[in-house]
Amino acid sequence: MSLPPLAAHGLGKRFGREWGLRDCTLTIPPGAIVGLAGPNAAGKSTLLSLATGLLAPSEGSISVLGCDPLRDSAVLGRIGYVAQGAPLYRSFSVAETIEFARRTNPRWDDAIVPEFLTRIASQTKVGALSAGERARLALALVLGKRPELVLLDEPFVGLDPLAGREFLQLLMDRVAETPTAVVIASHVIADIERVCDHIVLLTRGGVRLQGDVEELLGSHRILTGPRRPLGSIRGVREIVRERHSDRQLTLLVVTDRPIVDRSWTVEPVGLEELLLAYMAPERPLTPPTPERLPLQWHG
Amino acid sequence: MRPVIEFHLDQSSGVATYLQIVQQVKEALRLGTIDVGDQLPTVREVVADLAINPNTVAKAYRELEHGGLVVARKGRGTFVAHTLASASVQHHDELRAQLEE
Repeated sequence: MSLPPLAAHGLGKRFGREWGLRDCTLTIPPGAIVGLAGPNAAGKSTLLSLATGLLAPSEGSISVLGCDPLRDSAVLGRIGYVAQGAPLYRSFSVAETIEFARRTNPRWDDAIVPEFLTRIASQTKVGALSAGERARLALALVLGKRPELVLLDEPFVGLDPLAGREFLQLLMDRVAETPTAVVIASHVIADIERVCDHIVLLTRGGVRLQGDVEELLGSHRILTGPRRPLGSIRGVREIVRERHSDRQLTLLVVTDRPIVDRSWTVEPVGLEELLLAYMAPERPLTPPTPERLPLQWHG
Repeated sequence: MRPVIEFHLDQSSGVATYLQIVQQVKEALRLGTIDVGDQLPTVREVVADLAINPNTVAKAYRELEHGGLVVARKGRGTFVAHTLASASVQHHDELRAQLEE
Protein backbone atom coordinates (compact mmCIF):
# COMPACT_ATOMS: atom_id res chain seq x y z
CA MET A 1 0.00 0.00 0.00
CA SER A 2 1.61 3.23 -1.08
CA LEU A 3 1.41 6.38 1.00
CA PRO A 4 -1.46 8.78 0.32
CA PRO A 5 -0.23 11.63 -1.87
CA LEU A 6 -1.93 14.10 0.44
CA ALA A 7 -3.31 13.66 3.95
CA ALA A 8 -4.34 16.17 6.60
CA HIS A 9 -5.46 15.70 10.17
CA GLY A 10 -7.25 18.40 12.14
CA LEU A 11 -5.47 20.91 9.95
CA GLY A 12 -6.13 24.60 10.55
CA LYS A 13 -4.58 27.91 9.59
CA ARG A 14 -5.35 31.19 11.31
CA PHE A 15 -4.73 34.61 9.81
CA GLY A 16 -4.89 37.03 12.70
CA ARG A 17 -8.27 36.44 14.27
CA GLU A 18 -9.79 34.74 11.25
CA TRP A 19 -9.44 31.08 10.41
CA GLY A 20 -8.55 30.54 6.76
CA LEU A 21 -9.02 26.83 7.18
CA ARG A 22 -10.21 24.77 10.08
CA ASP A 23 -10.94 21.16 11.06
CA CYS A 24 -9.57 19.83 7.82
CA THR A 25 -9.13 16.07 7.90
CA LEU A 26 -8.76 14.32 4.59
CA THR A 27 -6.96 11.57 2.73
CA ILE A 28 -6.42 11.48 -0.98
CA PRO A 29 -5.97 8.00 -2.48
CA PRO A 30 -2.95 7.26 -4.70
CA GLY A 31 -3.50 8.02 -8.37
CA ALA A 32 -6.72 9.94 -7.75
CA ILE A 33 -7.74 12.98 -9.68
CA VAL A 34 -9.30 15.12 -7.03
CA GLY A 35 -11.71 17.98 -7.40
CA LEU A 36 -11.17 20.35 -4.50
CA ALA A 37 -14.47 22.17 -4.53
CA GLY A 38 -16.03 24.80 -2.37
CA PRO A 39 -17.20 28.40 -2.38
CA ASN A 40 -14.74 31.29 -2.40
CA ALA A 41 -12.95 31.79 0.92
CA ALA A 42 -13.58 28.19 1.97
CA GLY A 43 -9.85 27.62 2.35
CA LYS A 44 -8.94 25.85 -0.90
CA SER A 45 -5.90 28.03 -1.63
CA THR A 46 -4.87 27.94 2.01
CA LEU A 47 -4.89 24.15 1.92
CA LEU A 48 -2.71 24.09 -1.21
CA SER A 49 -0.31 26.62 0.32
CA LEU A 50 -0.03 24.41 3.41
CA ALA A 51 0.60 21.38 1.18
CA THR A 52 3.50 23.13 -0.51
CA GLY A 53 5.05 24.49 2.68
CA LEU A 54 4.32 28.10 1.78
CA LEU A 55 2.33 28.38 4.99
CA ALA A 56 2.81 26.69 8.34
CA PRO A 57 -0.22 25.12 10.03
CA SER A 58 -1.66 26.84 13.11
CA GLU A 59 -2.96 23.48 14.28
CA GLY A 60 -3.06 19.89 13.10
CA SER A 61 -0.81 18.30 10.53
CA ILE A 62 -0.43 17.75 6.80
CA SER A 63 1.70 15.30 4.88
CA VAL A 64 2.43 15.15 1.16
CA LEU A 65 3.86 11.97 -0.37
CA GLY A 66 4.44 10.84 3.20
CA CYS A 67 6.56 13.88 4.12
CA ASP A 68 6.07 17.06 6.10
CA PRO A 69 6.37 19.80 3.47
CA LEU A 70 7.88 22.27 5.99
CA ARG A 71 10.51 20.06 7.55
CA ASP A 72 11.38 17.97 4.52
CA SER A 73 11.52 20.48 1.71
CA ALA A 74 13.11 17.93 -0.66
CA VAL A 75 9.58 16.62 -1.22
CA LEU A 76 8.74 19.87 -3.00
CA GLY A 77 10.79 18.66 -5.97
CA ARG A 78 8.25 15.86 -6.39
CA ILE A 79 5.25 18.21 -6.34
CA GLY A 80 4.07 20.35 -9.23
CA TYR A 81 2.13 23.38 -8.02
CA VAL A 82 0.50 26.10 -10.11
CA ALA A 83 -0.77 28.97 -7.98
CA GLN A 84 -3.86 30.94 -8.91
CA GLY A 85 -3.37 33.04 -12.04
CA ALA A 86 -0.33 30.95 -13.11
CA PRO A 87 2.27 33.50 -11.97
CA LEU A 88 5.34 33.56 -14.25
CA TYR A 89 8.06 36.12 -15.00
CA ARG A 90 6.36 38.39 -17.50
CA SER A 91 9.56 39.82 -18.96
CA PHE A 92 11.02 36.37 -19.75
CA SER A 93 10.44 34.88 -23.16
CA VAL A 94 8.84 31.44 -23.43
CA ALA A 95 12.23 29.92 -24.28
CA GLU A 96 13.91 31.63 -21.31
CA THR A 97 11.18 30.45 -18.98
CA ILE A 98 11.67 26.86 -20.10
CA GLU A 99 15.45 27.15 -19.84
CA PHE A 100 15.03 28.46 -16.30
CA ALA A 101 12.87 25.44 -15.41
CA ARG A 102 15.35 23.08 -17.07
CA ARG A 103 18.24 24.40 -15.01
CA THR A 104 16.40 24.52 -11.70
CA ASN A 105 14.80 21.08 -11.84
CA PRO A 106 17.14 18.08 -11.67
CA ARG A 107 14.41 15.71 -12.90
CA TRP A 108 13.46 17.93 -15.85
CA ASP A 109 11.95 16.10 -18.84
CA ASP A 110 12.36 17.93 -22.14
CA ALA A 111 9.96 15.60 -23.91
CA ILE A 112 7.02 17.51 -22.49
CA VAL A 113 7.88 20.80 -24.13
CA PRO A 114 7.05 20.49 -27.84
CA GLU A 115 3.68 18.89 -27.19
CA PHE A 116 2.66 21.72 -24.91
CA LEU A 117 3.94 24.63 -26.82
CA THR A 118 2.66 24.02 -30.31
CA ARG A 119 1.36 27.29 -31.72
CA ILE A 120 3.43 29.41 -29.30
CA ALA A 121 6.51 31.18 -30.68
CA SER A 122 9.39 30.57 -28.27
CA GLN A 123 10.61 34.19 -28.41
CA THR A 124 7.24 35.58 -27.26
CA LYS A 125 7.41 37.39 -23.93
CA VAL A 126 5.36 35.68 -21.24
CA GLY A 127 3.55 38.97 -20.60
CA ALA A 128 2.24 38.92 -24.17
CA LEU A 129 0.75 35.40 -23.99
CA SER A 130 -2.99 34.86 -23.89
CA ALA A 131 -4.48 33.44 -20.70
CA GLY A 132 -4.79 30.01 -22.33
CA GLU A 133 -1.19 30.04 -23.55
CA ARG A 134 0.10 31.13 -20.18
CA ALA A 135 -1.88 28.36 -18.48
CA ARG A 136 -0.39 25.81 -20.91
CA LEU A 137 3.13 27.12 -20.28
CA ALA A 138 2.64 26.94 -16.51
CA LEU A 139 1.35 23.39 -16.86
CA ALA A 140 4.32 22.41 -19.03
CA LEU A 141 6.73 23.76 -16.40
CA VAL A 142 5.01 21.75 -13.71
CA LEU A 143 4.70 18.49 -15.66
CA GLY A 144 8.28 18.82 -16.91
CA LYS A 145 9.33 18.20 -13.31
CA ARG A 146 7.77 14.73 -13.61
CA PRO A 147 5.86 15.30 -10.39
CA GLU A 148 4.18 12.58 -8.36
CA LEU A 149 1.56 15.05 -7.16
CA VAL A 150 0.14 17.98 -9.14
CA LEU A 151 -1.66 20.80 -7.33
CA LEU A 152 -3.56 23.32 -9.44
CA ASP A 153 -5.26 26.33 -7.91
CA GLU A 154 -8.22 27.58 -9.96
CA PRO A 155 -6.53 26.80 -13.30
CA PHE A 156 -9.62 27.64 -15.36
CA VAL A 157 -10.12 31.22 -14.23
CA GLY A 158 -9.82 33.48 -17.27
CA LEU A 159 -9.72 30.60 -19.75
CA ASP A 160 -12.37 30.33 -22.44
CA PRO A 161 -14.07 26.92 -22.69
CA LEU A 162 -11.84 25.78 -25.55
CA ALA A 163 -8.63 26.75 -23.74
CA GLY A 164 -9.97 25.04 -20.63
CA ARG A 165 -10.63 21.86 -22.58
CA GLU A 166 -7.14 21.92 -24.14
CA PHE A 167 -5.62 22.40 -20.72
CA LEU A 168 -7.43 19.31 -19.41
CA GLN A 169 -6.54 17.26 -22.46
CA LEU A 170 -2.83 17.96 -21.97
CA LEU A 171 -3.04 17.24 -18.27
CA MET A 172 -5.00 14.00 -18.70
CA ASP A 173 -2.78 12.79 -21.51
CA ARG A 174 0.19 13.16 -19.21
CA VAL A 175 -1.60 11.42 -16.36
CA ALA A 176 -2.49 8.55 -18.71
CA GLU A 177 1.21 8.00 -19.33
CA THR A 178 2.55 8.23 -15.80
CA PRO A 179 0.44 7.61 -12.72
CA THR A 180 0.20 10.95 -10.95
CA ALA A 181 -2.21 12.21 -8.32
CA VAL A 182 -3.80 15.52 -9.23
CA VAL A 183 -5.67 18.00 -7.07
CA ILE A 184 -7.60 20.69 -8.92
CA ALA A 185 -9.09 23.45 -6.80
CA SER A 186 -12.07 25.05 -8.49
CA HIS A 187 -15.19 26.84 -7.41
CA VAL A 188 -16.79 25.97 -10.76
CA ILE A 189 -17.80 22.34 -10.60
CA ALA A 190 -18.60 22.05 -14.29
CA ASP A 191 -14.90 22.66 -14.99
CA ILE A 192 -13.71 19.67 -13.01
CA GLU A 193 -16.50 17.10 -13.14
CA ARG A 194 -15.26 15.67 -16.42
CA VAL A 195 -12.05 14.48 -14.90
CA CYS A 196 -12.23 14.05 -11.16
CA ASP A 197 -12.81 10.64 -9.64
CA HIS A 198 -12.59 11.92 -6.08
CA ILE A 199 -14.14 14.97 -4.44
CA VAL A 200 -13.19 17.02 -1.43
CA LEU A 201 -15.75 19.70 -0.66
CA LEU A 202 -14.47 22.44 1.63
CA THR A 203 -16.78 24.91 3.29
CA ARG A 204 -15.95 27.38 6.02
CA GLY A 205 -16.84 24.73 8.54
CA GLY A 206 -14.18 22.33 7.26
CA VAL A 207 -14.44 19.30 4.99
CA ARG A 208 -18.15 19.00 4.28
CA LEU A 209 -17.96 15.98 1.99
CA GLN A 210 -15.26 13.75 0.55
CA GLY A 211 -15.15 10.50 -1.32
CA ASP A 212 -15.14 8.63 -4.58
CA VAL A 213 -17.33 10.38 -7.15
CA GLU A 214 -19.07 7.22 -8.33
CA GLU A 215 -19.83 6.11 -4.80
CA LEU A 216 -21.23 9.53 -3.97
CA LEU A 217 -23.41 9.59 -7.09
CA GLY A 218 -24.47 6.01 -6.39
CA SER A 219 -25.60 6.71 -2.84
CA HIS A 220 -27.50 9.95 -3.50
CA ARG A 221 -30.91 10.24 -5.12
CA ILE A 222 -33.47 12.92 -5.83
CA LEU A 223 -36.95 12.03 -4.63
CA THR A 224 -40.00 13.87 -5.87
CA GLY A 225 -43.49 13.35 -4.59
CA PRO A 226 -46.62 15.01 -3.32
CA ARG A 227 -46.08 17.26 -0.33
CA ARG A 228 -46.66 15.50 2.95
CA PRO A 229 -45.40 15.52 6.53
CA LEU A 230 -42.02 13.83 6.47
CA GLY A 231 -41.61 10.71 8.50
CA SER A 232 -38.87 8.22 7.81
CA ILE A 233 -38.63 6.83 4.28
CA ARG A 234 -37.49 3.26 3.86
CA GLY A 235 -34.07 3.22 2.24
CA VAL A 236 -33.23 6.82 3.13
CA ARG A 237 -30.37 7.30 5.58
CA GLU A 238 -30.25 11.07 5.54
CA ILE A 239 -32.03 14.00 3.96
CA VAL A 240 -29.47 16.46 2.64
CA ARG A 241 -31.84 19.03 1.21
CA GLU A 242 -35.56 19.53 1.27
CA ARG A 243 -37.44 21.83 -1.06
CA HIS A 244 -41.11 22.20 -1.58
CA SER A 245 -43.71 23.98 -3.57
CA ASP A 246 -47.34 24.11 -2.44
CA ARG A 247 -47.97 20.59 -3.59
CA GLN A 248 -44.67 18.98 -4.31
CA LEU A 249 -41.73 17.92 -2.23
CA THR A 250 -38.23 17.43 -3.64
CA LEU A 251 -35.61 15.76 -1.51
CA LEU A 252 -31.95 15.09 -2.02
CA VAL A 253 -31.21 12.05 0.09
CA VAL A 254 -28.50 9.58 0.99
CA THR A 255 -29.81 6.08 0.45
CA ASP A 256 -28.69 2.86 2.03
CA ARG A 257 -31.10 0.57 0.20
CA PRO A 258 -33.25 0.87 -2.91
CA ILE A 259 -36.32 3.01 -2.32
CA VAL A 260 -39.43 0.93 -2.86
CA ASP A 261 -42.13 3.42 -1.91
CA ARG A 262 -43.94 3.97 -5.21
CA SER A 263 -45.24 7.41 -4.21
CA TRP A 264 -41.74 8.81 -4.78
CA THR A 265 -40.17 9.37 -8.15
CA VAL A 266 -36.52 8.39 -7.72
CA GLU A 267 -33.86 9.92 -9.95
CA PRO A 268 -30.06 10.07 -10.00
CA VAL A 269 -28.34 13.34 -9.22
CA GLY A 270 -25.52 15.08 -11.10
CA LEU A 271 -22.29 16.01 -9.34
CA GLU A 272 -22.86 19.75 -9.61
CA GLU A 273 -26.28 19.62 -8.01
CA LEU A 274 -25.02 17.26 -5.33
CA LEU A 275 -22.18 19.57 -4.33
CA LEU A 276 -24.32 22.68 -4.46
CA ALA A 277 -26.74 21.05 -2.04
CA TYR A 278 -23.94 20.31 0.41
CA MET A 279 -22.47 23.79 -0.07
CA ALA A 280 -25.68 25.54 0.95
CA PRO A 281 -25.45 26.73 4.53
CA GLU A 282 -27.15 24.39 6.90
CA ARG A 283 -30.22 26.20 8.13
CA PRO A 284 -33.65 25.23 9.31
CA LEU A 285 -36.23 25.15 6.58
CA THR A 286 -38.04 28.46 6.38
CA PRO A 287 -41.62 28.18 7.51
CA PRO A 288 -44.13 29.37 4.94
CA THR A 289 -44.99 33.02 5.52
CA PRO A 290 -48.53 33.33 6.84
CA GLU A 291 -50.73 34.95 4.29
CA ARG A 292 -52.27 38.21 5.38
CA LEU A 293 -55.91 37.68 4.70
CA PRO A 294 -58.47 40.30 5.52
CA LEU A 295 -60.66 39.21 8.38
CA GLN A 296 -63.74 37.47 7.20
CA TRP A 297 -66.93 36.57 8.88
CA HIS A 298 -67.51 32.82 8.70
CA GLY A 299 -70.58 32.72 10.85
CA MET B 1 -6.93 5.68 -39.18
CA ARG B 2 -10.12 6.85 -37.51
CA PRO B 3 -11.30 4.89 -34.48
CA VAL B 4 -14.25 2.54 -34.98
CA ILE B 5 -16.24 4.37 -32.33
CA GLU B 6 -16.26 7.89 -30.96
CA PHE B 7 -17.65 8.39 -27.51
CA HIS B 8 -19.69 11.34 -26.37
CA LEU B 9 -20.61 12.35 -22.85
CA ASP B 10 -23.75 13.71 -21.29
CA GLN B 11 -22.55 15.39 -18.15
CA SER B 12 -25.99 16.18 -16.83
CA SER B 13 -27.37 12.65 -17.12
CA GLY B 14 -26.28 11.57 -13.65
CA VAL B 15 -24.95 8.36 -15.26
CA ALA B 16 -21.33 7.67 -14.30
CA THR B 17 -18.90 8.47 -17.12
CA TYR B 18 -17.49 4.95 -17.29
CA LEU B 19 -21.02 3.55 -17.61
CA GLN B 20 -21.76 5.91 -20.48
CA ILE B 21 -18.74 4.49 -22.32
CA VAL B 22 -19.79 0.92 -21.52
CA GLN B 23 -23.33 1.62 -22.75
CA GLN B 24 -22.11 3.23 -25.97
CA VAL B 25 -19.92 0.23 -26.76
CA LYS B 26 -22.80 -2.17 -26.07
CA GLU B 27 -25.14 -0.09 -28.18
CA ALA B 28 -22.67 -0.13 -31.07
CA LEU B 29 -22.32 -3.89 -30.67
CA ARG B 30 -26.10 -4.32 -30.73
CA LEU B 31 -26.41 -2.21 -33.84
CA GLY B 32 -23.53 -4.01 -35.45
CA THR B 33 -21.55 -0.82 -36.14
CA ILE B 34 -18.59 -2.47 -34.43
CA ASP B 35 -17.85 -6.13 -34.72
CA VAL B 36 -15.62 -8.94 -33.53
CA GLY B 37 -11.96 -8.12 -34.13
CA ASP B 38 -12.41 -4.34 -34.19
CA GLN B 39 -10.03 -2.38 -32.02
CA LEU B 40 -11.52 0.09 -29.55
CA PRO B 41 -9.75 3.44 -29.35
CA THR B 42 -6.83 3.37 -26.91
CA VAL B 43 -7.19 4.93 -23.48
CA ARG B 44 -4.96 7.80 -24.55
CA GLU B 45 -7.03 8.41 -27.68
CA VAL B 46 -10.22 8.62 -25.65
CA VAL B 47 -8.55 10.85 -23.07
CA ALA B 48 -7.19 13.16 -25.77
CA ASP B 49 -10.60 13.28 -27.40
CA LEU B 50 -12.87 13.80 -24.40
CA ALA B 51 -10.47 15.31 -21.84
CA ILE B 52 -11.55 12.82 -19.20
CA ASN B 53 -9.75 10.88 -16.53
CA PRO B 54 -7.77 7.93 -17.96
CA ASN B 55 -8.81 5.83 -14.96
CA THR B 56 -12.41 6.20 -16.11
CA VAL B 57 -11.68 4.83 -19.58
CA ALA B 58 -9.64 1.98 -18.12
CA LYS B 59 -12.51 1.16 -15.78
CA ALA B 60 -15.02 1.09 -18.64
CA TYR B 61 -12.78 -1.23 -20.65
CA ARG B 62 -12.24 -3.50 -17.64
CA GLU B 63 -16.00 -3.72 -17.21
CA LEU B 64 -16.42 -4.69 -20.87
CA GLU B 65 -13.64 -7.23 -20.53
CA HIS B 66 -15.31 -8.67 -17.45
CA GLY B 67 -18.47 -9.16 -19.46
CA GLY B 68 -16.48 -11.03 -22.10
CA LEU B 69 -17.27 -8.47 -24.80
CA VAL B 70 -13.69 -7.33 -25.36
CA VAL B 71 -10.19 -8.64 -24.73
CA ALA B 72 -7.18 -6.55 -23.82
CA ARG B 73 -4.02 -7.64 -25.59
CA LYS B 74 -0.97 -6.36 -23.78
CA GLY B 75 0.82 -3.62 -25.66
CA ARG B 76 -1.62 -3.83 -28.57
CA GLY B 77 -4.95 -2.57 -27.37
CA THR B 78 -8.49 -3.62 -26.64
CA PHE B 79 -10.37 -5.69 -29.19
CA VAL B 80 -13.99 -6.72 -29.61
CA ALA B 81 -14.35 -10.41 -28.78
CA HIS B 82 -18.08 -10.89 -28.84
CA THR B 83 -20.98 -9.19 -30.52
CA LEU B 84 -24.41 -8.38 -29.15
CA ALA B 85 -25.99 -7.99 -32.56
CA SER B 86 -28.77 -10.43 -33.18
CA ALA B 87 -28.53 -12.64 -36.21
CA SER B 88 -31.01 -10.43 -38.00
CA VAL B 89 -28.71 -7.38 -37.75
CA GLN B 90 -25.78 -9.42 -38.97
CA HIS B 91 -27.74 -10.41 -42.04
CA HIS B 92 -29.13 -6.98 -42.83
CA ASP B 93 -26.63 -6.30 -45.58
CA GLU B 94 -27.26 -9.65 -47.14
CA LEU B 95 -31.02 -9.16 -46.98
CA ARG B 96 -30.77 -5.70 -48.45
CA ALA B 97 -28.65 -7.06 -51.28
CA GLN B 98 -31.24 -9.72 -51.97
CA LEU B 99 -34.01 -7.14 -52.03
CA GLU B 100 -32.17 -5.14 -54.61
CA GLU B 101 -31.82 -8.08 -56.94
